[in-house]
Amino acid sequence: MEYPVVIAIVFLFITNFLNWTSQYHASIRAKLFSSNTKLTSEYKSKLAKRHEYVLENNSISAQDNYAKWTKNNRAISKLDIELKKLKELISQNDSVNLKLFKRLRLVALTVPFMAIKLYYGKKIVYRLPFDNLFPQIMTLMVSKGFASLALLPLNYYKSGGKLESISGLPICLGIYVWALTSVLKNLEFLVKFIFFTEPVIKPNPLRPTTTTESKDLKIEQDLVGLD
Amino acid sequence: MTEISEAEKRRILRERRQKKFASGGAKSRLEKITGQAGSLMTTESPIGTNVKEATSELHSGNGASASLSRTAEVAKEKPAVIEDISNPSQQGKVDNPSVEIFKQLATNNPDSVNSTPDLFSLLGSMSGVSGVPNEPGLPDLSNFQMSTSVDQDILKYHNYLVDRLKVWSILIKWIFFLLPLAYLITRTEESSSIIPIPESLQFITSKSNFFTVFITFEIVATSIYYQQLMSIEKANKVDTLQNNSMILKVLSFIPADKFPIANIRSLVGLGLQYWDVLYMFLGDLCFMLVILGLAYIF
Repeated sequence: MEYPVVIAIVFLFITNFLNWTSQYHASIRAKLFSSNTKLTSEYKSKLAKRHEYVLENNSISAQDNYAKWTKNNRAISKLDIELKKLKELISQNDSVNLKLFKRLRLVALTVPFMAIKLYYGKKIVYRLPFDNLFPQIMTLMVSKGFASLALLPLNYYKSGGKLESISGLPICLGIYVWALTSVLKNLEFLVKFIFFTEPVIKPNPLRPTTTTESKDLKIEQDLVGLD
Repeated sequence: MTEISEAEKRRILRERRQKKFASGGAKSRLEKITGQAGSLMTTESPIGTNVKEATSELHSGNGASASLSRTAEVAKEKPAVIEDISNPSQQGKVDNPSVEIFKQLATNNPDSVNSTPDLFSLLGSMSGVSGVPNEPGLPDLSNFQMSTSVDQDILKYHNYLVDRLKVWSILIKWIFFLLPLAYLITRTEESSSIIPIPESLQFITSKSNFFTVFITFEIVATSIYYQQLMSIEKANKVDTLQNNSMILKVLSFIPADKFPIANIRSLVGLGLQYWDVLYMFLGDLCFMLVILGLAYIF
């Protein structure tokens, strides 16, 4: 297998992997970038301190320990302001990191992948030695890509009413990447449903409406059950 | 003489009182009694003209529900007499327009002027479910699912069943048909020694018949899939496409006369159904291409 094919398949798997792990990207970015790590640890320590003050205030009486209670309250208010500032700083840094990450993904993954698909799209990945496995039009499509379908009427006219004969069944890179993407998507759907989806129980139907005739509740016995 | 003059006096006082009630004078009397002389709140009661029978029920010691039902019946009748609450023995006729409000509340008339229409009757009138024809230009909400908790649960359960059907159809098609077919096509010589195929079925392993066999299988599998889907939709009374397609939901909010093509919603729905079938076929074709390549390489 030639290197553009291998690179294209690697890019495809990396793209799919990034899509599958998208929910963990935020925490990974926070760990990678040290500035945010320091701010996050500071935020966590202040939040823990605030929690201690709140617990202490809840355990003492405001009337009996007025001085201590108000002192704690003032500390809590001060910490709230600091936490708010830290949160804003963290979110600002995170948005900057996110922009950087997106640009990196665009430059290192998306653009090269697209370039390989466009430039090497007609390169044959493998050729099956089976003639007439598919109809001629389909063989033309899998060997030259989707663009060949659009140009088919023109080529048909130019060749004088004849379609190009192709030996075997060659599969081009563009079609193979599309086919592999579709298979991976279906596999993802299967795995998601089988392993990560909880079964849903049928909801209970609404109770039937009561009949217009009300039941006559009759007292049939006068006996009272004693414990 | 004194008795007659006393009776006359009482009669004159009664007439004066009646005139006072007719001109709204009972208000000042009530205010004096209740101590709200300077209050701006109105003391008019919607039960005004029909209190007599209801209060007589109450005074006789009947239950509240009986009095309420009786009051509802009374509200349907003509207004008879008004009673001074402070003096039950008095009788008088007051033409109180606020009794109309009480009548409407008592009869629970949805077309009443002062009652608030509820959401369902409003949507029902818009959708024509209640029999009222749609106004031109109003969106057709006949397929709009009310967002009650029961409907959402049924929709969730329905979507789960549809996904489960898709998973089963993919697994069965891929594992029990397409994989063995790919193996038989690529390893004809080896497979014939391992699994002896009768001559009548040898057309399956013939490469020239591959596409015919594949298409036939796809048609049968898609028919079975859609039969199962219809039975699920029938059991849950949910239209999968109508409830899950964003395109159809957006189209349902745009009036039909805005589009140059008539009946565009049904056309779009049909197009989406065909796309669904084509998408499943392409998915299986892609699987075959990948598997044939892997089987050939390895």
